[in-house]
Amino acid sequence: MNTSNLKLIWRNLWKNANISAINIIGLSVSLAISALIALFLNFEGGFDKSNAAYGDMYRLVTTFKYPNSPERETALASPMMGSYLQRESGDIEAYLRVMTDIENFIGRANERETTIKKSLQVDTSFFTFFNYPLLFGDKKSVFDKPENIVIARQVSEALFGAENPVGKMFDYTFSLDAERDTTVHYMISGVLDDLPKNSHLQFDALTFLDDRQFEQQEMGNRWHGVNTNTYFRVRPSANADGKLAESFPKLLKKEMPNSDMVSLSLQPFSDIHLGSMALEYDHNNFQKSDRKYMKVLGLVAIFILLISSINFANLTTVLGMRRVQEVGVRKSLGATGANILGQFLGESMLMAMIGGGLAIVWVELLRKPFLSLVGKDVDMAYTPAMISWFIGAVILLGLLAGIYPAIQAARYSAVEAFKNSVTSLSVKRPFVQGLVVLQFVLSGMLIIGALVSHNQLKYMQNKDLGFNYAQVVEIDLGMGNGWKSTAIKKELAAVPGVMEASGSSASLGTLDGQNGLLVRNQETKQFENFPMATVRVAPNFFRLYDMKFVVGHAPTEESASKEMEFVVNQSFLEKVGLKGDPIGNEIMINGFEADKVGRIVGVIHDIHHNTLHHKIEPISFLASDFTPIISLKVNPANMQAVLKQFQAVWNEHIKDRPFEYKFVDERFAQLYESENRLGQILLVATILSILIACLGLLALSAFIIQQRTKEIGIRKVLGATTAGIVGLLSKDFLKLVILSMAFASPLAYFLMEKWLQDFAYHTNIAWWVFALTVAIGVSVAFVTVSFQGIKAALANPVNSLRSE
Amino acid sequence: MIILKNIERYYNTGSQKTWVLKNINIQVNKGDFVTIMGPSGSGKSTLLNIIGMLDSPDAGEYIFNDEPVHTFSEKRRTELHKHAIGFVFQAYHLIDELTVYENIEMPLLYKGERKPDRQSRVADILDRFNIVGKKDLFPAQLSGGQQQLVGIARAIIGRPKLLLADEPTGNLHTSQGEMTMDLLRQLNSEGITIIQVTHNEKFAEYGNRVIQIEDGFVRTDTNT
Ligand SMILES: Nc1ncnc2c1ncn2[C@@H]1O[C@H](COP(=O)(O)OP(=O)(O)OP(=O)(O)O)[C@@H](O)[C@H]1O
Ligand SMILES: [Mg+2]
Repeated sequence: MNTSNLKLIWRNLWKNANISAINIIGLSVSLAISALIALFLNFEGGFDKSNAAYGDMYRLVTTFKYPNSPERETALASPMMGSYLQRESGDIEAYLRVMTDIENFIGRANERETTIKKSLQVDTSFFTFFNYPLLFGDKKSVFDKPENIVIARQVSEALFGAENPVGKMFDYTFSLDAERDTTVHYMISGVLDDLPKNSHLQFDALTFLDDRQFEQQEMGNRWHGVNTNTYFRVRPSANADGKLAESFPKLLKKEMPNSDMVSLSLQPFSDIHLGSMALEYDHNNFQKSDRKYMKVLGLVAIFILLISSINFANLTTVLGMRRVQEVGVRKSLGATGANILGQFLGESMLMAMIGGGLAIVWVELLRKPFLSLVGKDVDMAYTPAMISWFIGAVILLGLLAGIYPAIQAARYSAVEAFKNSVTSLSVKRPFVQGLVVLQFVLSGMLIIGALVSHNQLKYMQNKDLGFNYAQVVEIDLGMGNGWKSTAIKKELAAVPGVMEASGSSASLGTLDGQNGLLVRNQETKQFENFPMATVRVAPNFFRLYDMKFVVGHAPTEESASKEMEFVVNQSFLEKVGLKGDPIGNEIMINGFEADKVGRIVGVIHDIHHNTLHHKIEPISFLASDFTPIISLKVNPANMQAVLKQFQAVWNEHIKDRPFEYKFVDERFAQLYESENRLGQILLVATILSILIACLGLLALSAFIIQQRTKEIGIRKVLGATTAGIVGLLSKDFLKLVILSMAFASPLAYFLMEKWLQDFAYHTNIAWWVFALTVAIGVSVAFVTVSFQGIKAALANPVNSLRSE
Repeated sequence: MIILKNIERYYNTGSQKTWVLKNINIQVNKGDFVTIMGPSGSGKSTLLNIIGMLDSPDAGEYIFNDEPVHTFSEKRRTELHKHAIGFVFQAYHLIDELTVYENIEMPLLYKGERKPDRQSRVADILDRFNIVGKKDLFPAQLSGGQQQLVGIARAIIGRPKLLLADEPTGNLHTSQGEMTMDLLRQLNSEGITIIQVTHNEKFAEYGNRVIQIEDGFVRTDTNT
C-alpha cells in the first residue's frame, strides 16, 4: 500500500467521522469486553497449570454407594488410600494427603497476633509433590518434629516483619472444654512464599499430617471414613487413557471390607477448579468456579464480538457501496481488481487496528469494574499467547468486515460502477439484511437470557423456604468452642434486644453431609441403616426459625443434655418408610455412643434446608448442647449497640477466633451469589449489545435515508405526512427486527430451558418474556430509525430536490 | 488505429434482446478528432465505453493498433487503460478525498512510476494548465470548469494515444465549455487521437469528423 492510499483511507475515515467513530467505538468496546472475558477465562482455565507435571497429577474422588442413600461424590478419600494404592499399583509415583486442620483462628508470636484463615495438615511429600519455594527453612527438615509449623509469607510478615522467624515459637490458645483453655506451642520451621493465585490450594499454615490420629478408629471406619484430600502423581502418561482408576476396585478388594460400596476415580489436577461443583466436602478448593458459568461468559463474549463485527461489516459495506463511482474512475485509470481489493481491505484493516488499539485502553480502564462485576480478584496478565490471539482477532475482524464490500467493488466493471452510483444501496440488499437479522437475533437471545435468569434469581430469593429467617444474626463460635455454646448462648440471650437465642451444629441453607442413622423398622423391629444428614440443634431452634410441626413437638429443654430426642422432616418418613405413628420410633447413631437409643419426638413439614439447586432430602435434627453456631433473633432497632454487646460477650469467652457475625438473610442471598453475578453480567452484556446494535442501525438508517432524500422530497410535495414518511422509512427495519425476534425466541427458549434444569426448583419461562423482548427490540429499533426518519421527513422538500 | 467491425451490444430484457448497438462499422485513424452525436438513448455512451474497453461488445470485432481487443484478457485491458487510453467524464468524477495534485497523480501510481518522475510530470501539467495555485485544493473547492480541467489533466498525464470524452462540456457554462474544447483541440494538434460525445452542434465543429448515431446504427459519418 502506498502513502497516497493511506492518506485517502484516512481522509475517508475523517469525512465519515460520525460513522467511523461509531464503528470504531463500538468495535473497541466489544473487543475490550471480549478481551477482558478472555483474560478472565484464561485465568480460570489455567488453574493449577503452573505445576509442570499437572498432566500427570490427579485428585482422588470417592463416590459413596451405600444402600438406602443416593450416590454421593466427595472430594475426600480415606487416609488409607494414598500409601495403599501407591504400594499396590505400579503406576503411582507419589501421593500427597491434605487435611483441613483449623480454620479462622488467632495465632500469636513475637508478642503480636494475626488471624490464620486456614491451616492444613499435609504429608511431608508436599514439598516434593509441588515445587513451591521456601523463603526460610529447609524443605527436607521442616517436619522433623511433630510440633513444627510452616507459615505463609504474609503471616510471617504480620508477626515478624522481614525477620527470619525459623526457630521461633507460634502459639494457639483454644478451649479444652466448657471451663478450661489450653495453649499449643508450635515451632516455626519454614516460611512458604506466596502460592500462585491460580492454585486451588490456598492456606496460611501447614502442619504435619500425623497418621496416629486415625488409629483410634476401628479398621472398617478407617477404610470408609473420608478425611483427607488425596493427590497422586502417576507415571508419565500412565492415565492417558483415563482408565487407571479401573484397576483400583480389584486392589481394594484385597484388604478393604465392603469395598464395593465406594468407588474411586481420578480427577485431573487442572480440572479441580472448574469441575468440582458436584463434589461434597470440597473445602480445600479456593474460590472454585463452575465451568458452566465460564461457558456462559465465553458465549457472551462471542455474542458481543459477533454483534459488533456485524456492525463493522455492515458499516464498511455501506461506506464502500457509496463509493462505487470512485471505483469506476479508478478502473478507467488502470486500477486492477487487486488494487481495489487492497484499498478496501486496507481501509477496514486500518479501522480494525484503530479499534484494537483503543480496546487496550478500554481494557485498562474497565479492568477494575469488570473484576468487581465477576466478584474476583485475579491476575489478568497479558500472556504472549493472549496478545497474539488478540492481534490475530483484530486482523481477522478487519479482513472479514472488509472482504465483502472489497470483493463487490473489485468485481464491478467500470460501466456498472458508474451506473450503480445512484442506486447502490438499500436495506433490501440480502447481505446487509442478513447481518442485521443475525445481530438482532443475538441481541434478542441476550435479552431473553437476561430476563429469564433475572426471573430465576427473583424466584429463588422470594421462594417460601418453609421457615422464617428474618432478623436472625448468626455467630459461629467454631467447632472447638462447641462445649462453651450453652453458656455463651445464655449470656447472648440476656443482651437487651435479643428475642430468642438458639444454636445448631451447622447452618441452615448449607446442611449436607451424612451420618449413618440406625432407624428401627416398625414391622421387622430391626434397626436399619440410613445414611443422611443429622444436625445438632438446641430445642428452641424450631421455634426461632418458625418451623411448623406436622405431629409431635420440639424436643424438651432437658433432653439436650440427657436423652436423644430427634425431630425429622416428612421426607425422612417417606425415605425410611415409617407408615404408622412416627412419634417414639427409635433411632441410634451409627458409631456414636453406640449403646444410646434415641426416639423421634416431632415431625416438621419439609423445609428447604439446602439451596434451591437441590431437592429436599430427608434430614434429622438431634437436640444437643453442642451447638457452636448460635442463632439470635434480634429486634432490628439499635442493631449496632446489640452487636457491640455480642462482641463484648465473645471477647470474654473466645480466645482463638476473631469476632464475626452474619445476618442470615444476607447469607441466604449469598447462596445465590454466582447466579446473581451471572445475572448482572448478562444485564450489562445485553445493554451493551443493544447499544452497539443500535449504533449500527443508526448509521445504516442515516445512510439509507440520505439516499432517499429525493424520494422523500417528492413524496412530501405530493402530500405525504411526516408520520407517513417515518413509517415508510422504519417499516423495512422493523420487519427485520421482528423477524430476528422470531428466530431468537425458540433458540433462547431452548438454551434457557436447559439452564433452568440445573435448579431443582425453578420458574417456568413465561410468555411475557418473549413479548417483552419483542417490545424492547422493536421499540429500540423504531426510536433509532425514526430519529433519522423524522429529521428527513421534516426537512424542506425544496432543498432536497434542488440539491440533486 | 481503431477498427470496429459489425459491433453489436444488446441487453436481455425479459426474454427479448434489446439492441443498443447494431452493425457498427467505424474506422478511426491516428490523429483524428471524432465527434459522436445522436439523440438521447441512441447508444453513444455505450459505444464510447466499448471503444474505451470499459465494456465489451456482444458480437463483432474490435481491432486496436492492429490487435484484436475482443480477445484480450482483463489484465491486458487494464494495461491499455494505464498506457494508451485516457477518459474525460461529463461529471468529472474526481475523487473527493484527494487534492488536485493527488487526483492528477493517481494514474501514475497505477503505472508504478517512481516518485521523482511523478512529481515532475504532475508539476509540468499543473504548469501547463495554469492551476499550480490550486494543487492543494480539494475538488469541492473548484468551479465546474476547473474540475474538468483537472479531469483532463488526469486523463492525459499517462500520455495516452487515445482520449475519450463523454459529454465533457455537458455540465459546463458556454465559456467554460469553449475553454475545455480549446484545450482538447490543442491536445489533438499535439497528436492525441480524440473521440468525444456531445449534444452541442458548435462544439462538434472542433473535430474533423462527425458520426451521427440513431437507435444503435451509424446514420451518417462525415468529415468537416
Ligand atoms: N443495463 C441495461 N439494460 C437494458 N438497457 C440498457 C442498460 N444500460 C443501458 N441501456 C439502454 O441502452 C441504451 C443506450 O444507452 P446510452 O447510455 O449508450 O445512451 P446515450 O446515447 O449515451 O444517451 P444520452 O445522450 O442520454 O447519454 C438506452 O436506451 C438505455 O436504455
Ligand atoms: Mg450518454
